[in-house]
Amino acid sequence: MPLRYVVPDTCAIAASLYNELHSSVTDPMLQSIRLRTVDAVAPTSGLTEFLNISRRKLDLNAVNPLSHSAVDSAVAEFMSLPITWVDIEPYAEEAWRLHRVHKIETGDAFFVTIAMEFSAEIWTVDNQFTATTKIMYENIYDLKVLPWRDRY
Amino acid sequence: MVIQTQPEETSNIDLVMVSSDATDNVSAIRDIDKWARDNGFVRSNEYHLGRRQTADGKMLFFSPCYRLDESFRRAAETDLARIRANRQKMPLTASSDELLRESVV
Repeated sequence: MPLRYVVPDTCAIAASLYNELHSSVTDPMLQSIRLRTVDAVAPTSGLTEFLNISRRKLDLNAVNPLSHSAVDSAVAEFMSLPITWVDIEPYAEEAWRLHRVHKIETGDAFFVTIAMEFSAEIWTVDNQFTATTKIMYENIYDLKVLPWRDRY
Repeated sequence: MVIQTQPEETSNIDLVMVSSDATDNVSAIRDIDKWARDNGFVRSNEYHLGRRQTADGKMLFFSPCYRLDESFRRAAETDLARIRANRQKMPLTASSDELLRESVV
């Protein structure tokens, strides 16, 4: 199997572990990562993002807050995924440049810089991330609009 | 560039240590990932690779790689089934991209 790097957006991973609107389109991504048909790399900031998402899943003011045990399980599954978590410090200056020049959100910019470093595809379900990034990095795919079977 | 595998002959083993003489950690990751995929293995997913030095002074990065065999696939399928079952037991919740945009990171 040829080497194929993928940077999974944190929101896409979260949608595959929690029951969300886009879970069905992110499930094949989860399968590819877990079965190691791709090599997943992501910035360490993705760990913070996932925990923040998980914290929001517990929010009693939200519609359908989840139980602590359900969220704890999802966090454990997330941490066990075979993803290489790349230190972000060496990429901070370039992330800032991407933000200044291309208006990519600073958090998203780390995903883009690491995708560039590894010549990786970015897989996401985030409209805003796709729209701002596509202009300067074509190798980003919105799983909602690109049916999995057509590409994978 | 991958310069060494231990053991040298890898056709009948499931675990191998692969070394690269790349000058930085990320280049070594790419080297070793490439070797692994070309030879039916995958690299363990650590980021900070180990380092060692040969008798003639060459510094190397190294990482274990393991063969993608049927036992690996079975374990992955079991994990995926558990994740899907847990997800189906959950109520539908807000999309993570919305939650993340609202969060202070």
